[in-house]
Amino acid sequence: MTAYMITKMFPKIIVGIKSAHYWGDFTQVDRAVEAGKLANVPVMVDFGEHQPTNSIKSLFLEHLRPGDIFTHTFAYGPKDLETVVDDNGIVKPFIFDAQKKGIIFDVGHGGGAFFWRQAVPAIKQGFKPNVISTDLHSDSMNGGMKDMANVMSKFLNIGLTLEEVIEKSTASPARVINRPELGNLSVGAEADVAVFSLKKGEFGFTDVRRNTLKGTQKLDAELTIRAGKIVWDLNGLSGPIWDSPQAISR
Amino acid sequence: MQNYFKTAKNRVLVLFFALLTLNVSAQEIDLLIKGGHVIDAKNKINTKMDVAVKDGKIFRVAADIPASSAKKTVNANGLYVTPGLIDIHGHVFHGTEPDNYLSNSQDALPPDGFTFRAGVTTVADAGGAGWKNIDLFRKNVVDKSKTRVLAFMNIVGGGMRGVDTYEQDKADMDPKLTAASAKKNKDFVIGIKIAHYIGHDWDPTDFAVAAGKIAGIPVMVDFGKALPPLPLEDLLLKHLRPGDILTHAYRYDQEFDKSGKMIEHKQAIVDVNTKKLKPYVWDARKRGIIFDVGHGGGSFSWGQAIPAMEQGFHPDVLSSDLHTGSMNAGFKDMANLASKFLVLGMPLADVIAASTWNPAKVIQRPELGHLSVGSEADIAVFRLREGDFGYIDASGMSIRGKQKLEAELTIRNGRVVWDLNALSSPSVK
Repeated sequence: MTAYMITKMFPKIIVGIKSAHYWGDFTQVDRAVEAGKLANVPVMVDFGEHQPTNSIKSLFLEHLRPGDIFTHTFAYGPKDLETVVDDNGIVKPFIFDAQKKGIIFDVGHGGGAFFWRQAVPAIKQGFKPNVISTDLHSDSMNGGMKDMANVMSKFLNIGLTLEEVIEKSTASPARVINRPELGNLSVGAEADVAVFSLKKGEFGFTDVRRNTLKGTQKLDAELTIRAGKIVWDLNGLSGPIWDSPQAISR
Repeated sequence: MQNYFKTAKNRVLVLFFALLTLNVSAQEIDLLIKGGHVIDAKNKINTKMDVAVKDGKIFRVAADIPASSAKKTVNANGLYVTPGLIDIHGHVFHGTEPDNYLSNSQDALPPDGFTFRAGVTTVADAGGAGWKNIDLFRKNVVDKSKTRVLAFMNIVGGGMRGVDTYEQDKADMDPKLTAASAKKNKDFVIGIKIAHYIGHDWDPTDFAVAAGKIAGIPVMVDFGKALPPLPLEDLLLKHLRPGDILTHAYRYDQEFDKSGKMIEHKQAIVDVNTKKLKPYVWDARKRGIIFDVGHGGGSFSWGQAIPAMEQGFHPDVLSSDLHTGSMNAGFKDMANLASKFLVLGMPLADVIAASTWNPAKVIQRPELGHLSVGSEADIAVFRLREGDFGYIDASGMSIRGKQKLEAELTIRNGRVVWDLNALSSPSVK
């Protein structure tokens, strides 16, 4: 049924199947993967809480397919959910295997799923998320997440290069959701463009427990263009000065 | 055996609470904002002060409150500490009703996503709901938001659900029912709104004022759609009462008669030919009419605001007219709007007053908009950035400016609800 909804009814807007918040075994994930196979789309897993925890090694290596997405990668709630980084701050070796196998690690920051104690050691040991994303909702927008530019800035400050941060927020997600026409500036592509200024200074970034990491760089969205139209202009980069000849002639 | 453990546990608990009590008496302040420059218009404070919060209320405002008396201290050196901003013209009756404009529909926005990040702690919806759906507004918006949500009720019973049809229906403008509903909901209804009327008559305005009189609350007018135009002078000097509000004060619409011919501008406060403020506007201010910004997506023009400001006509109240058409355009948020007036030469203390204590008085909520001891702890902390910034009006024209206000920290009812740079959080390294 879920697969038919995608292939027959909404192939243009539905890009994947989500499995989330299930407190049992692997049943829900397996059904999502079944639907994903039928519709030929990826599955995104917000792995349900369970005591004792369900094995994420088994999730990655036995249940998910290459191209399926593990979201909330840097969550921490070790009693209910197995973590990517162990108690000694070491990335579990099978995580690298899973990423090599093609499992997509997505940030999904949200109001409760991003911890410095997971993200900082992971990046240091060379485990980088494939995709940066928000988990935007009423609890995250005013908390540590704030907005996409803020989440991107966090990764910039813990060791990803600007190029990596942008790639993980544009081309990489486009590939993951099988939308190769998006996330690039190829000639002929729809003109969705962002212009950022990279502010230098003293900034602070909180995780979902309000623990702080101090940083020196922050991305600010100056200009956003959607399908060729300016939809955001922070500092009037695109507007003529009000009493200039250009303004009067308009 | 079990009993033994219970008793032992109780003893530990007693000891624990004893220690806790000691701790509280040593650190009686929950949150201390230290070293900031406080601007509180009501209490005439415009200097460096510390602000202490306890149990959700303002506990003390004084120089040098020791950090040792607080459980948590925020270093506000170099920052401005103000009462949480009050925005009296938002559109926050968000919902999923199709084709219903700003009344339980998709052009309106959920408040919490657009208030706290700009230092706003109180927002008034400006006429989204009328007496027929004000109960739904309470249930879905007032009760569900962390922002304090108030409302101007529309004189149109069905609210702001469509300019071309529903909002023109004089049969749906009932002063008695509107006033009765306003009184019943007086915990959050603070005024009456009349907007978008395109008829060449004063009936809807007079209905709104009649409702305002019965309920004892001000009327806010969004004026200027009448065809052919009605004189603004008559609105301000004959129809409104002192204390009533003209919103979109710096709007400039080109005006046309019924045959489509452009005509003299009857509805703007600045004469577009002489660039002079029309004399009756000064008279109206003397009379007690409130001039509110209501920036919005189409209601703020540099061509009006700049000459008016140069001639000393500052707004009484800054407000947003927040909706999907303004949040991404020239308006953006209340901090951006406040920055515009700073750049136009309004002193910072006046900008803050026009966003805190002035609106509180206008909506007859004297308990809001200040940092008096005992009042609910709604606080904003701003950084005044220096640099090269640009600001856009509703027609896409820009000015450059050297200053910009940024909301660093917002506190609502004693709780941190926005913290841009983690000022209030412990550090991991």
